[in-house]
Amino acid sequence: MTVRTLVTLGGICLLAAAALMAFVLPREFSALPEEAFRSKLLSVSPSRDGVTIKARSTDSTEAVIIEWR
Amino acid sequence: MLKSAAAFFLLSLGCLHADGDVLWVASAIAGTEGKTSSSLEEVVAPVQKDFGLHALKLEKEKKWDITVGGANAFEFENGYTLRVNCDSMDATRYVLSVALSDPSGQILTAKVEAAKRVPLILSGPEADGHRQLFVVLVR
Repeated sequence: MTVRTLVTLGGICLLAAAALMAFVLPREFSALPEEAFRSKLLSVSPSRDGVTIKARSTDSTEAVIIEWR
Repeated sequence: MLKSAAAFFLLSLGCLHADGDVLWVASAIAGTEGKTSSSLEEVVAPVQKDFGLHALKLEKEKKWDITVGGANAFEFENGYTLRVNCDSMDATRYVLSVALSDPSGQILTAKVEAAKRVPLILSGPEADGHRQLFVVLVR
């Protein structure tokens, strides 16, 4: 394989990658359901006596917050 | 010239190869005065909303590539230890087991299904208008 072939192949691959990012990926991302951007708290428990735990959100697109006291 | 162009193309292709996701863990102090560290900007809104504290001072952070079955423990200088295990993952979500300890033992364990860029915030009790925070985030 000559260097010229390598460069041509590289150029083609770069163009293909650019096209993929420009046309295919945005559609794939927009097709994701809203749940894809939520975090869920599956379980939380204190491991030590005297610790109280409060969980603010179990299904959130902002943040899951756990407070211990 | 052609050889350097070939090297450039190969390097570019290497960069285009999708990077793995990064698990980011940080300890911070939330208060009402001061400036928020730039790496904590994306957690300011929920902290402000929930605790009314808008100044987040970064104490220490660490990031590493996330892998299924990978267990990572990080000991902070303030005596806390945070252990994060990745139980499973797919294209957008991760199941993480998190355990937080202080010098006198384990405080809590939690399991979250984490979406990318949605942080898990662990907050200590309020003391003198400040709170100790730990942030776990997949980027």
